[in-house]
Amino acid sequence: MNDDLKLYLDGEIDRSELSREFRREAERWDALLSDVRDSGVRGAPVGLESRVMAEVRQERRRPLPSLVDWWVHPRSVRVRPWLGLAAAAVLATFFLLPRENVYTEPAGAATALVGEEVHYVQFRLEAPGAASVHVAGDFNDWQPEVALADPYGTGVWTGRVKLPPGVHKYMFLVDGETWITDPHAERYVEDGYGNQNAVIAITGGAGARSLAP
Amino acid sequence: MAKALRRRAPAVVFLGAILLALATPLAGQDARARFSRHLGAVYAARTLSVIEAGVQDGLPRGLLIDKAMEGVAKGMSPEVVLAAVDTFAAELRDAASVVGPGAPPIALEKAADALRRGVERELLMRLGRDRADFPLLVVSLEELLDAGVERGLAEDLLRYAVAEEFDSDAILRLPASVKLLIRECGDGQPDSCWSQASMRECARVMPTRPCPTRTLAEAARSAAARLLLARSPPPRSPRIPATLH
Repeated sequence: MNDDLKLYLDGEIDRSELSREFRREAERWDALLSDVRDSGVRGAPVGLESRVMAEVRQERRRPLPSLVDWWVHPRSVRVRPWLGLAAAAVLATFFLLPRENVYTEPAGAATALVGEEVHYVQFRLEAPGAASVHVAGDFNDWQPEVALADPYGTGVWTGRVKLPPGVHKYMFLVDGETWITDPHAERYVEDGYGNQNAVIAITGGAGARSLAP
Repeated sequence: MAKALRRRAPAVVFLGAILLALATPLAGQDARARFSRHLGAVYAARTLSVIEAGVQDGLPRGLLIDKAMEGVAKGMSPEVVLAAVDTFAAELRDAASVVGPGAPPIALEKAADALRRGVERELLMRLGRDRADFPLLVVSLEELLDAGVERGLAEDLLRYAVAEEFDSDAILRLPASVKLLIRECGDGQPDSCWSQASMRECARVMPTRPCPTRTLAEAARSAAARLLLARSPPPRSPRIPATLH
């Protein structure tokens, strides 16, 4: 039986809240119940109460009944046709229509040397008086999304970033406007824009270590 | 309340799945929008045409896109971004002639870096461009040269590391070893200092493999001598005796 219909028969929702299809069924149930009432039958058959209670107790003993039932038993999902069509159209737009193949190759993947192993690299910059410090590099499309923290208010900003093995370039962005080269990096490379990127090499072996300071 | 929640659970799961499916493409769109918004339609199209021309020549699209995105993130003007991508593509084309077609993007990029720094093409080719650790060898080579090591000695060190199958860590450690030796013995210490420090460093970095102790010592010593020469003040011009005036 449909869940909404059950709720209706339990008196939890009104008939007007049912769909047209179930409204007709509800009417049939109402008629049936009315017939039963009119038949003059009063009270339950002998022993019904004890049988019902035994069933209920058995139900309670089952481990995780509601959680398992939810996944195992078939459920009906009601979706308005126009909403379903809209959702299908949105999915089709993103998955079926041809997209420019410009941003599908992540820059970070291009610099990975060994496997899919990743390492956590600690970045550190002394920037007293700064309001915010972010690190950006070829591992995140140069978007300053990784914020460093200055937990003790000493002007020493630190943060960890998960990086794959390889050679990565990065810079710090201070206060959202000033790009700064890591003064303590061991390696640098010209960035083609008049500055120098710091370079970090991460090896993928057992003794893998970050070469950042 | 609980019943109502259970009633709506399938719909919530369905909506969650749709949102999850949309998340990745939307992130890509965000990057694309940033790119087009910053460069404007004209420069975005011109930059993309430079990138596509590079791709036609076999260059990895990811490296070129990354260079453009770097300029966009750093707030460079559209003209500067276009010029930087164009220059970078030319450098990569040059590097491709060194590392060969089909080289991994990182090998291509490191070769381009090295050529920009003035490392000879032949040296890069001799280094083993087909090796998986070629980028690390180039990183180590650049750093050895920056430390003042002669090209021949730097090459000898790296070729030894390749022959003895040094791991990546040990290859990257070589420049630091040279710098350590210079710090320990660079201020006029006797020959024994160089050889002992070299053996000590070798034992620490590659304890289980033969290590080029002599080449390492020689490389560090030559680098120290060159650094000393570079730091020494220029010779004073001879004072002309007053009697000659």
